[in-house]
Amino acid sequence: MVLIEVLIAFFITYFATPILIKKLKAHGVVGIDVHKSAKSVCAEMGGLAVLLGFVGAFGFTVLLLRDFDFHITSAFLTIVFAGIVGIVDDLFTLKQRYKPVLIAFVTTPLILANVGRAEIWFPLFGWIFLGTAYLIIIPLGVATASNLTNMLAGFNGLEVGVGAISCFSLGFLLALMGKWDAASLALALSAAFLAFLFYNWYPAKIFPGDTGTLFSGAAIAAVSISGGVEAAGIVMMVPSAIDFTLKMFSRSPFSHRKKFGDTVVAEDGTLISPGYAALAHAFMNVAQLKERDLVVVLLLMQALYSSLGIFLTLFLR
Amino acid sequence: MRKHTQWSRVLFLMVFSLEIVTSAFVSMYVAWFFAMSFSVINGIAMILAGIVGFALGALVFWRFSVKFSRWRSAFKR
Repeated sequence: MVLIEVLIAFFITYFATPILIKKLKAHGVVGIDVHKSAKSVCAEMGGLAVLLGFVGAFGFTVLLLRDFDFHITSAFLTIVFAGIVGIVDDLFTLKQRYKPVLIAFVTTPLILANVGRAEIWFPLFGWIFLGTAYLIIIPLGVATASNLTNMLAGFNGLEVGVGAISCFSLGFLLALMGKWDAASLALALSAAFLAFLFYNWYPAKIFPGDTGTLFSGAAIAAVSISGGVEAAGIVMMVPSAIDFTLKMFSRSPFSHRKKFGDTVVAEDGTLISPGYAALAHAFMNVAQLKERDLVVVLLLMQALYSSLGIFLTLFLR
Repeated sequence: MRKHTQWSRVLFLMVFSLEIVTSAFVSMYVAWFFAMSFSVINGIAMILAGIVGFALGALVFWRFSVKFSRWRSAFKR
């Protein structure tokens, strides 16, 4: 049944994306690909296709199995609501400070489903008692995760690749632990991200937009919480967290691009860092990388931390 | 510059980023050690210490990448 769900998510996203590209371009929902010399125009808000694939797959499971597990349904609702916040952001450009508040607000179903839980397992420490603070950590965690993935973005295939790798790793881990409900959610998400990657990989035809990035982070956090593998989710978010922390070192963390400008693209396609601290810029400092190389490096880093999350949870729990 | 040299540097920096996680873990252990007697505060203190350790580790990571770029330029000259 999980396989059918994964296939549904993959094919809905795969066939919906080209239609969406045409429609979005026709309605002027487009963005400039800043890391190309040609500065080409691509369709924006493609995360909607991923959302459609995910909703279709989950709808199939619920309709066919009539299996309403409250934990999984609450995670599903939180992820979909985060996607809707992303759609609103793409269409009306929300201020940065409103996004975490709105995402925290949409975690209400997840909070309700987890009333009574008070402990979290952490590698090397075991079960840590948090009391009612656990319920406060849910909106904080989901809002933080969705905004972290929203910040480590802007290169063809990066956001979607990170989503695909993280969700696949979470699905794999949860399947090994025998938690098939949560695993099916994560694997359906990774299949939808993978299908979208065919169109978003360098040179991109469509960008995921905030619909895709906010949704991706919220999905990782919500699946981790509903599957009880919060520590693995935290470890998988490390690359995005490093990027966020480095950007916060700056005196004006939310207006880097105004102050320093965009990444410069040399004639041969090599990227030159604008100078402020960020994860992608750290790699640009040590090597001459083109956009595709940089994305491969960041995805490898994501795979490293995803493997670490799986390893720590499986072997130390 | 040779392609394999570029990739070895990048892979080195990638593995070096593990020091950030290590730094966060060490900070959490220190907080765990000092906050053992406060059962509810324990977890919160650990999370806060982890964030501080993570930030310090990230700072070291960034400074290292900048130094690396300067060594590279000096070596070229």
